[in-house]
Amino acid sequence: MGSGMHNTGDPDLRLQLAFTLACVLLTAQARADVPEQIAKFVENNCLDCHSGDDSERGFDLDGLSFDLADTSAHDKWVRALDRVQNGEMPPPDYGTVEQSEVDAFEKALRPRLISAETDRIANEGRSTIRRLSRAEHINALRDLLRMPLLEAGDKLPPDSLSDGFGKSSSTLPFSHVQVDRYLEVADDALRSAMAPQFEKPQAKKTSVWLKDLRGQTIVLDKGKPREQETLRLIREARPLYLEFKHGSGIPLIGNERDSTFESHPGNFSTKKHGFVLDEKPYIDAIGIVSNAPMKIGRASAAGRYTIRIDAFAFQAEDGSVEPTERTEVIAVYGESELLGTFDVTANAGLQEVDVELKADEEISVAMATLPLWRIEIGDKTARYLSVNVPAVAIKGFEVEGPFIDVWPPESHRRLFGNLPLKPDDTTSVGYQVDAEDPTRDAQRLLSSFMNEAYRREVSQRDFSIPMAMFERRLLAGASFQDAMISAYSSVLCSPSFILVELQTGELPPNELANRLSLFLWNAPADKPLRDSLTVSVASDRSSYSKLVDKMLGDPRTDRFIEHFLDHWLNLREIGVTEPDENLYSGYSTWTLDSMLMETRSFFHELLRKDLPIRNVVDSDFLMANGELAELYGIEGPVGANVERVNLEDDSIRGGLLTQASVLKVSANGTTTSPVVRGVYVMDRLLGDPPPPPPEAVAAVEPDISGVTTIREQLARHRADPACASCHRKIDPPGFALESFDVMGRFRERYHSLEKGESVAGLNRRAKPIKYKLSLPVDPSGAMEDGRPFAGIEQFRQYILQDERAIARNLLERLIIYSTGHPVGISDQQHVEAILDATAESGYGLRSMIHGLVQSPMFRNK
Amino acid sequence: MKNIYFPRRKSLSRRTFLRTAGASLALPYLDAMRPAFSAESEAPQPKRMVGINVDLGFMPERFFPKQSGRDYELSPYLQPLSDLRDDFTVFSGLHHPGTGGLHAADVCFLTGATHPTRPGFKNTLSLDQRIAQEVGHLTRFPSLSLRVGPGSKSLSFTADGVPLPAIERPSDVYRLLFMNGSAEQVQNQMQRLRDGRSLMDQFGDEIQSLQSRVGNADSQRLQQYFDSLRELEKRLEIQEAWSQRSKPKVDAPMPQDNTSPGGLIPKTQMLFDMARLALETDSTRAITVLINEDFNPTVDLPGVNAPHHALTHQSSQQDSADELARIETAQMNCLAKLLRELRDVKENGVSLLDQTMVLQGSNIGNAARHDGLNLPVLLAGGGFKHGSHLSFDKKNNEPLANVFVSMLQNMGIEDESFSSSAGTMRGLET
Repeated sequence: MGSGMHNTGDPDLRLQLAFTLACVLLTAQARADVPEQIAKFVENNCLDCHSGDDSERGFDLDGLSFDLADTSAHDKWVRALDRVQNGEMPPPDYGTVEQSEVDAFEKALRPRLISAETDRIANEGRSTIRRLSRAEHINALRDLLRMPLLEAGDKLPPDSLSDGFGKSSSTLPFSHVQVDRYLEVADDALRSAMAPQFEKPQAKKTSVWLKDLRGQTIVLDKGKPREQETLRLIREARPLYLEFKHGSGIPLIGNERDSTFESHPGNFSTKKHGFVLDEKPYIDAIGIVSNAPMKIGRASAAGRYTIRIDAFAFQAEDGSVEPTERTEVIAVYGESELLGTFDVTANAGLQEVDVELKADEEISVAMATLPLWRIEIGDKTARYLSVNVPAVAIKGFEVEGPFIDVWPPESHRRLFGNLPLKPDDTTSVGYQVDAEDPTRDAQRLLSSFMNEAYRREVSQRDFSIPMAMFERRLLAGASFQDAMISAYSSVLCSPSFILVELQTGELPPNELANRLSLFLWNAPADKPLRDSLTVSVASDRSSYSKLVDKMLGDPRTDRFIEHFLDHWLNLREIGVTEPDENLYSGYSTWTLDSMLMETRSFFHELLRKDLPIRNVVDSDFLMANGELAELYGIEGPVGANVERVNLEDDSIRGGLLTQASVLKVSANGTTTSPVVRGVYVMDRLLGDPPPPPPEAVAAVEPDISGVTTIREQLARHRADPACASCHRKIDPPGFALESFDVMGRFRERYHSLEKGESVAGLNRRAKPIKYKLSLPVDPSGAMEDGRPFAGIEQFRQYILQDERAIARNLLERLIIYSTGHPVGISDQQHVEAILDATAESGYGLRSMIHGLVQSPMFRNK
Repeated sequence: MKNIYFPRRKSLSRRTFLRTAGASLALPYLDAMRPAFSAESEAPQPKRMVGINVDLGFMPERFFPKQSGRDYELSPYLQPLSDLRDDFTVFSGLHHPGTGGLHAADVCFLTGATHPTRPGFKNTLSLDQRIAQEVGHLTRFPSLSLRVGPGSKSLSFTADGVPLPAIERPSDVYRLLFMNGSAEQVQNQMQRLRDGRSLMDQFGDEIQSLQSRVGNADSQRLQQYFDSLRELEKRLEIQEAWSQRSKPKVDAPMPQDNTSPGGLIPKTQMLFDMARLALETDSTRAITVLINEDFNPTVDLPGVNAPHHALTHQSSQQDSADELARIETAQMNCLAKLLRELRDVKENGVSLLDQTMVLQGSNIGNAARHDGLNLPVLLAGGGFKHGSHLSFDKKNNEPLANVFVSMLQNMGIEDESFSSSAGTMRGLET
């Protein structure tokens, strides 16, 4: 256009004028449509600030359409009504409104908003068609292919989480990348479901027992180690050899240190190798003082393995073995998760654990509860001689497997039934699936597979797509199995597999089963569930409840617990920061694992026992293991497993509010901020999120020099009245939680690297603790309405006065999670009905879930 | 199924076009191809990027100039670039917050992901892959990852933190870029692509029939699904066209790989040559090169006797520092050669260097101390206003990711942030 801009004859410009004119008319028109009572209220109370382009907060009521079928206008009117009803608008400095006027406004507006929303739901449903989320997609593949350890879904692009959970249509968009990845993920998953080889892999045992390594000493030859002599130790027990070489593993004979043993760490810059030297080689255990993981083996094929470890706990006091009362934990890790644990005491012996491993997966063990992370490599003097720390002695370990019950594996049978395998070296798997009548076999296998994958009756037309693919591939010269994989692949990226929330109106049983399953198992419904949710079960309240109870008893409910908590409490980000090792001691990967175990088992306990909602804020029990008992300073639990512990009446702990996971994820690795924690608690636990901070206000950064406390800084911030209004609400929970450091440990004084009182002890690297005890913590504050509290106990009592609000928050989140749509104005009656019905149980979690799955919000799309 | 895309809005380098025009005549005429072939003069000149990480870094006192601003005096390591002074900007006071200066952080150089040594560490999207997301479909290869040195590391990571394998041998790069597959390989690939297309087409029909039975919001979501299927179908079609088209021919012969463990310099040189050829033929627009030396070889250079990695740890001794300087100067010479050659290639009358952002840096600021602060970084080309030393606080470093945001925006990608960025890089304007 360029030069035409100033020419009034320009057609674009004329169009623009016409458009502007239309907008003006539209505004007038829109206002004319507003019912008189509402229009009058808005004119008298709102328009001074909320009119035109420079409206307060950009909220223009003057130009707002009253076409309530338009969801964006509808949302704005709902917001206006909420603000007025809560007394937030008009603001106090503007003037007061008679309550009768507000009531009249509400009476005129609310029914109209509700009826507009009800109409929309009747036409379109509350929720919108969506695809499976990434997590649901991979779970669906796991269930369908009978491969609980499948990880192919990592290739799908990560979902956005704008609804808080990644469960709504609006956060699950389509793109060509997404669709392209479906093909790739399906192909990968199907290929890994096939038997990896013709023969069933045989179980093998790999053992390393230190006493058997005797005689394999390393001698010096003209000042150099004769390297082949080290091979046996290195090949069979490389991690142990390295521990010895670096001087952090203690050579033991029985309960004594082998004093003839020498270790030489080597010199990196001169390329001089380290070695170990023992004149009288005769050790039967290695004492380990750090929690760094050691690799002990690798799975040769997928399957079940038995891991055995012979170990005992002791106190390593300057190199000598002293008895201990502690119970240590050996954690067994696979490549991505904790597989199992051993509790190790001073008298422990040989123990074993069974684990499922993926092909090629590496197994590591960590002496999880030991406080040191590592002892840095030093010179000739072994470092263990200068520390006094808890330790674990390992006499040896063994990995045996894979134990495979059926061959070909179940995942293979899902694809190829009982068709025989015929050895064939020309294929990558070493066999051919032998189909006598390829077309008939394909039809039979595909139809069973599709029935499960599509979660509904399969039509002839559905069937024709993969079948045509199969035939085309076979014709092009592909083998039966390759042609089948292509056909299955087309099933797994079909809209019928990908899409959920399809039918408007009351959900038919198969769709209801899907919704329940996506809610409680985070995957679409499998065949057994669809079969058990018949029309008669769906229509009978008590059979339906029984079915839901049965679902809640299935281990797949853990998927719901994990996914829901990961998002509700943001636990998926708990590992993003790590407590600064200079400022805080006693943190390890195991601490983090334990925190997650606690919160998940606590939620599980609420769910299982239908415990009242007050437990979110305060409980008379904890779910803790030895690691957490130490962190919390409570008596009772030892070892790896989390158990229920009753709390003393005056305990500062109790409830999600003071769990280490929550306190950790609401802090960073260095400091706690009452603002960040305050917002976290107000939003996630209490359902009353403060508005976002105004732009151009610098965040208040805690000062770790020990000169000022965060409270003193915030006090200056709050002196500004513009800041004070929001901070009156944000700060109280944050102040009360100042009693807990970045990993949830109780504290009375802040840590500082500069000013304060020195502390004795070792840090994670076996060096003296650097931090100092600095300024005292002040956990007192005042509620938004001015009631003062001295600390967390009193604060907690104040918030418990409105249990219903806490219950409403959780229920509303469950509604978004399970139906993919937030609570609308017409849903509020249903929400209050569920709350009324569960009030007697103290808003028990399980009761609320039952109420929810029975409600029209859940039973209709 | 890996996608390799055909250009739609791009202007092919004239030379590439002429070389491959013969082959294109035999192709069915695709709509998708039209813009690339007919509207060549109207299309904007494409931008590219090369990201290089030298994993052992550079001795700071010889890398950073003493003065800041435009009138700085070239530091010893910048001397080899003296004739290119107005074609690059050198930075000091940059870092990746939370990444640390350990060797393990090499894979974070283009991602800025934090805590690479922690168990369960997962990397994040790398700069080149962000670029490939936007412009990858315009060239035969969405991106190219290269590595000098053994191992399996790469600088390129998908949004899920999955590494894209890097190619180590220059001859493999050459084969990939310029040599065609067998007729059977081509045939198989095309069959797969055709199957994919026919699926997308059938799914599209299914979606449309669904659409007629649902409400408004549902229909809109389904439309998006439908459009995605169509878009993929189109891309598969383009990809099929690529697989039928001959790869570009270049005058340069197949390189002879250097297999000496100490061959750092010739290996770097040859991979840089491959990178340049890839850019010249517009085979890709995003290239990464990881120069990986932490396995501690002794570099084959006169006057260098001690292992490379070891030298970095004893650089406080004068003779070690002098040995190390020989290596690092030779590395800077490799860069200078690459930049000069890019400058001398003209694309539609514009120097290829002006169209190509070459970022060289390291994940280590001070190798002797494993320090992750004050990373030695320079950015050349790409049409920025260069010629300055942009210097920031040595203690409170600026995020290196700010440079990445400037680079993204220079590519025409309207991102406001990347990784730990806090905005664009001040003083780096076009």
